[in-house]
Amino acid sequence: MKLKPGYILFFVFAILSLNTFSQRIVSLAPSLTKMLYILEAEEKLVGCTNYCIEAIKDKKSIVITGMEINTEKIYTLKPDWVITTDLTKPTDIAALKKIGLKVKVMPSPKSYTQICEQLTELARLTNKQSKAKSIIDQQQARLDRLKSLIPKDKKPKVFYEIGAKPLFTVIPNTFMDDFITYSGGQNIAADLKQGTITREAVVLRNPDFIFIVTMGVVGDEEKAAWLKYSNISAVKKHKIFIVDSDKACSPDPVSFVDVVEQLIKTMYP
Amino acid sequence: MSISKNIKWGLWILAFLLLTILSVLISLSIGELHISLTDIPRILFNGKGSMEYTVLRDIRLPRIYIGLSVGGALSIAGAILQGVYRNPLVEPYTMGISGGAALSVAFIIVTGLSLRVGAFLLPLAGFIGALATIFLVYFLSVRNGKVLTQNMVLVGVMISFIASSGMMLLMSYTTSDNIQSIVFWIMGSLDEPNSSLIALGVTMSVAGLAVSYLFIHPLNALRLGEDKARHLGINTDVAIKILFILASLLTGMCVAVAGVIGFVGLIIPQLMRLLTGSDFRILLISSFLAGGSFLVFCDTVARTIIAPNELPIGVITGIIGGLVFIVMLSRSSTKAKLS
Repeated sequence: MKLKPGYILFFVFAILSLNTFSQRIVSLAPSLTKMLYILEAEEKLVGCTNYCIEAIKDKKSIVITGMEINTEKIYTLKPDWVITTDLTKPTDIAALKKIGLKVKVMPSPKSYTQICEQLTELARLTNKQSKAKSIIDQQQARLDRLKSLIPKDKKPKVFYEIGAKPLFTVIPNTFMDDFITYSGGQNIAADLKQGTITREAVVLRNPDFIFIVTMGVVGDEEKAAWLKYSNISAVKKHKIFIVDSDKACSPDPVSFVDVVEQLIKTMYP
Repeated sequence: MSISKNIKWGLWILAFLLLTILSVLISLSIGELHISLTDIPRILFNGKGSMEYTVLRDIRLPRIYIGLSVGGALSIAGAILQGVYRNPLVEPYTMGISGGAALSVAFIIVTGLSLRVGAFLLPLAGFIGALATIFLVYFLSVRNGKVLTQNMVLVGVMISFIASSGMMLLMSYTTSDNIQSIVFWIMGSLDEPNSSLIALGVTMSVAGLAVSYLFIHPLNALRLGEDKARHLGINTDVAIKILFILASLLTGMCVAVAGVIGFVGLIIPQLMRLLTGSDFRILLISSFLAGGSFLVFCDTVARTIIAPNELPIGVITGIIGGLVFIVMLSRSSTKAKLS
């Protein structure tokens, strides 16, 4: 039997409309909820975490409080997809799958490229591919513009602090390490396998810049603590800066480039 | 007291002083940057402005001060509590103090108060949590104006359980970042850049040692039991109350400065009892010195064994302290001593 073009068109339209109108998504991670908002796919979101401030304002149901997942609630929301990260307990994911839900686990992104891939993946689930492409293209253009500001001859040593007690820094193979490499810096912890670092190691590796990722007054206190170590080049030249953790810890392309922009503009004024 | 006893105790004190000096020198010398022992005086007195000076003066010395004072204070608090309760398993942290302190700190972290008001809230919360717990334990153990010491231990253990349930409740309602902060805080660390907190720790531990020596007679008398101590003319109720407050203040200070560091308060006084005997005149000072040098040694291991990464000090105190204690216990002579 030969298929008529009319039939084909009908099937394509039917599949497309199913995709567009029927998707109901439950997000178990604030970062993924944020990505859905960036993709302007928030109308598909039916459940979120108690930390998804924007979604809660939009009266989305809270299905996870802290680390505790309300499986029953998720089930009653009848989602087409439950999206989450690898921070969710495997037993919780298994429980959701067991009751017949489709769960998409997005691993914590290890690079800017992976952040973009995850945005594309979410866009595919929510049928927002063109939006994702335009976001990624725009951010790439921003990155290219910013890259041109980096002097070729400089490669400053950067200490990027993400925790004070114990002292914690970013290590290679994380998207936060990309903040440093994308801004032309050199991570002083590039040889480390895990993030805890002694203060002594930081002093001896003598960073040219110290970036402290934190919110509130803790950042200022940490900054004051570093000022005591007058041998560090960053201390001598007053190159200690605070980075807003809301942006720095949020793995989405826009926040990522915002942080790279802050770093580049601070490092090469 | 016989002269030979005097000499024996003098030798013990000398030995522990040497041990303390040794642990300090090792800690000053070893690290990411190796500094030879002979260079240390030159760097400290004439090397201002150099990298070595910064490392010694601003990083290693503060940790040593904290190690000596926290290790010392925890050990005398443990010795006092074990003496008062005549129970070898009692230590500052089995009395529910660590649980209370950790719960209080976890509350501050989870509510985000430390981010809004200041990081000083964490040590303050630890201190208040430790004191609140110990006073709660105390008041729950008073019957008709009399403190039932054996009840206190039970109440302390129960409060530990309640506090750990409270922690689980808080942790299940918060973000993974906060959970990480809480867990690391519980594991303890000697990395404290705040010099006033360090000064407070040193002052309080030395003062605590001095005050504890004012209660040498009640402490020694209490070894015979409360009734016998009372017959010896000791006002046991007052003595127990003051010693209890002293141990609580010292523990609260340790929690505030270094987080929860377990095992030191339990193992060091026990070990000292095996080595030097149970007389508090020698037990307190030897526990103070040995506890301090033990913690300084553990910190040196914690910050060098996987350098430039750092291990939580609680891991080291637990492993080293526990192993040493098991070896000591398994020796037949010590078994006889304890029985």
